Amino acid sequence: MTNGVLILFGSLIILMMLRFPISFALGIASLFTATYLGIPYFNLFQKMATGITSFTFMCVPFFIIMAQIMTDGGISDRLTKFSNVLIGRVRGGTALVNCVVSMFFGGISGSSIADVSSIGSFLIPSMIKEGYDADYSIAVTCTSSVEGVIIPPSQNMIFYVVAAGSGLSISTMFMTGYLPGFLLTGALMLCSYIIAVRKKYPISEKKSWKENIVIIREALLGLVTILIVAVGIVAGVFTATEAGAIAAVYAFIVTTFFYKTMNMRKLMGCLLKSLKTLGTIMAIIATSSAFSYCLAYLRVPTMVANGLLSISSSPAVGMLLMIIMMVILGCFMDMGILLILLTPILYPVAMSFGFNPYHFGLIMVLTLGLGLLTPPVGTSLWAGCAIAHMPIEKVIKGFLPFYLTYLTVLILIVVFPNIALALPMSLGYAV
Amino acid sequence: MNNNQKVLMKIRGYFDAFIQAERYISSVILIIVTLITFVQVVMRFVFDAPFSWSEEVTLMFLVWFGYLCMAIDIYTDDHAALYFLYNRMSPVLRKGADLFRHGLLVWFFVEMIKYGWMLTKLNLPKPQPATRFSQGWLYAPLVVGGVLMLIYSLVNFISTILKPRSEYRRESDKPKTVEELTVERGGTV
Repeated sequence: MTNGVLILFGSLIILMMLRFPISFALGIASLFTATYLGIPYFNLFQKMATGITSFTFMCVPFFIIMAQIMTDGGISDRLTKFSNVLIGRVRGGTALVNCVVSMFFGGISGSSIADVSSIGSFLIPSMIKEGYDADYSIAVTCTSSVEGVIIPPSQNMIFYVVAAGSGLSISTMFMTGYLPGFLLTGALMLCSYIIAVRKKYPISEKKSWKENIVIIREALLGLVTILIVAVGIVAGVFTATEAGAIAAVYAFIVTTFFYKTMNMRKLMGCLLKSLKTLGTIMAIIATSSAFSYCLAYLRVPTMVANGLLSISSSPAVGMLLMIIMMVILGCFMDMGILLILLTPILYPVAMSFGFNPYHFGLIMVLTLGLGLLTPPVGTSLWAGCAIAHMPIEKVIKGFLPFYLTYLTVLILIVVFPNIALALPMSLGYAV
Repeated sequence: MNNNQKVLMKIRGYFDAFIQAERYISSVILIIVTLITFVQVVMRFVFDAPFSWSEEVTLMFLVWFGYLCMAIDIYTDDHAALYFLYNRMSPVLRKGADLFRHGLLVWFFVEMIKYGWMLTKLNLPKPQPATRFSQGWLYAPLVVGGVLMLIYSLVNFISTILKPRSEYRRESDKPKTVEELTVERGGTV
């Protein structure tokens, strides 16, 4: 068994280091292990085939198309202006706008990197121009972009539910994200505001009421997509998959007929852009099913649980060790891939410690989200630095207060599960 | 550019056109799936007459769509991967790593076709509950996608053999876009 584990993880690491597609590295490592253990390949390919034949997983393409249509249709610009109307007129207003717009954008796209690339591409330069320090501008933009990974519709939450593979509900998982998402937004706003006051950052310019009304009207049309997902699922009108399809069609209608920024040609462009992301995700979901089968066959989750129990039988220590492991791994790999890799290992361990599956899912997503901001791999950190043309080492100091804020929110959510579970419980969801 | 490279360029031109067609087919599948799901909700709420077949059909389209997309990314060699060690390798080592990658993928796709075919044959006689379509349709993408990915990996393998070392050097010196940096850090969504 130990040799099997070594072959599985050893070959996976070597293949990944040699620039193999992560998805197929998972598949090939599984085949190597199956050869050693005498598992028929037939079982693995059957797992690969059934891995993506899940109606639950189908909401991923819909949410990705919706996000692409909204992003290409100019929603980020409108949301930024809207957020500016809401909170721009305080000290450090543009930084606070950055936090709020990421919350709204997260409710539409669920992607941190899309947030930094679209909103950051104009907010970072404009903040620097207004007189904010570059490291602060990048840190606010990148940290707040991670709000999107816990605010529904979050693809990362769907990855967790699919990878956990034990009949968890996506709707319930989504419901656990709202309050922690608002908490993170509030905490980042507070942190940004305190720094802005201390450093005397500027206040945004005032706009006329007439201008504000136009801005609000345009943004609200886009924000209805968030309501479709949130209210549709909460009220039990749609499943998460149906909500994704409705929101995608709605996004197309709004951007075509109201914003007039979309047409059939541009729609094809949006779909073609989505294909690359979807190809990668589909391949990872398919091959990770075979990988999870090998993990279960080798009883890796039991080994990990026993290893943690040998250190301490306390669930709190177990959770702390799992969080430390996720933070370290998050520094080296993208969160989507880590969620798919780690969930089949850590989920059974967390269940054996008695944690709530949805609470644990949220902790995993939030902890791995930190990896988007930490060197050497942090994709959002790199994107932010690339936009501002700044090297990471000059920027990282500006991130420190935001890391601290992020960790404080994470600790609060770990210690008080009700922050995550209160909303689904009050709505009658089985948690 | 020698004769072999010229021939390969011409062949890749045909493949590029085929990939473009594959992209459009995948996009159309995506539109169909979205519309079916949208109409299904409308039928349920407005007419109280939901389709019994929508879930089975959309799922079938999704599987076909998935394997077509995977194949496209194999051709363009664009699947999420980690580059931090690869980028530090010398051109010779990088060429070796590329050959090893495409070669091993060829083996993986041969196995995929073989076992995909077995699964398809096994499920062909089983009908799906609502549409009565054969369940074999859910497994056939493994074979079709496998064949496409096998061909694309072979093309990439041959392209790598013919790729001069100077091109590897040029790639190292080229400045990278935000999207390229994201891909190089294994970014997914």
